[in-house]
Amino acid sequence: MSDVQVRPVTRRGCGYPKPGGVYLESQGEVGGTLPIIVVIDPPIPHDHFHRGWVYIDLDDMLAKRQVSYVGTSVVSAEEWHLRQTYQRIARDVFGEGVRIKDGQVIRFRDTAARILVNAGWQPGGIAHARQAAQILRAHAGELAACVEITQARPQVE
Amino acid sequence: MNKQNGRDWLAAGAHSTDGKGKSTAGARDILVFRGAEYWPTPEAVIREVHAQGLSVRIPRNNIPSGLVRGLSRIALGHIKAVMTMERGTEDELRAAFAALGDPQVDAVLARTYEHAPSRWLEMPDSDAKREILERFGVKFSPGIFAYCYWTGTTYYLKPDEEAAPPDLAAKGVVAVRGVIADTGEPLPLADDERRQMEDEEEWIR
Repeated sequence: MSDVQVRPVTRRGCGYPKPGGVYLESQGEVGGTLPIIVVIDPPIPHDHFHRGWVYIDLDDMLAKRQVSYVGTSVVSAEEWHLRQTYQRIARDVFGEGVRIKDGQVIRFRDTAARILVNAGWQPGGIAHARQAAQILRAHAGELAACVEITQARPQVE
Repeated sequence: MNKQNGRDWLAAGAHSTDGKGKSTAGARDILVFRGAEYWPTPEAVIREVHAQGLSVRIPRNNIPSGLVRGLSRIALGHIKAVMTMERGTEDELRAAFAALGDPQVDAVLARTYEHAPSRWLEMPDSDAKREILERFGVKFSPGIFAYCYWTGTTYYLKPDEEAAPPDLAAKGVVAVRGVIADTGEPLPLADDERRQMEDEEEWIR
């Protein structure tokens, strides 16, 4: 028996999907943790109109302009965007298998910033980034309430 | 260093890119344009994505690599995404439309828009609309108005297929069998087969 997913589809602006066609998709995510669409304001001028797709450096484009997120997905978008940033820092501090608890991303960010400020840490360069991670590890107890363990850590023999 | 700087660094540290469109997390982002022929305004795209998610057809011989589920973003462009006004303010523009006393115009003024410039694009066509837009020097130009997070690449099976072609499967493309939601019938193919071939020729051009 075929285990191919049968997908009910409705008509879109360009009609129904075409059998034999390949489609890039964004379907959000069950539970609503992944925003379905993030609208930016103001839009970024881009004159290179084209068919098909092209690679872009979206972070660079967003950084060069003072855009904000708007629309109905804005809360989940901001939370998601922040989580992408601070989840990596949480792993640097606590190790793999640790995630920031839902609703605690902003508190984690503010706590980490306060720890760095109080330690007199100054930004700049890879060495400074390592130093920041060391400072945060030394104060891991203050961040611990914001994170949870999601999987067993590997045993070291 | 103040607390704000600490936040800025924390944010920049994890979101820096290599200058080639690839974030330090290894995820690439892409840009697609949505055609004004099918989606007259960016808001039409936004409404459709809210209702059905995003689905963008791409040529099967050009599948993007380096996309990471939940991290890579599909930026959405539209030929009328960016609005400029040579004269007046947006409040004055709104007041000019409100002064028309047209119920259809009032209905558009009362709608909620996520892409604000689309409101003026969606005003009912009339001489009055053209006159107002001209008086304020309103112009629209191409731009990026939103992005979605990539969640996968899909191949819609033809009726006689049971799996995605091997070359696509090898690239992580997942096969689905599409049926019309209202009726449960298979997706139409008859005269689409010809159109599809034309489409693919167009992609190649």
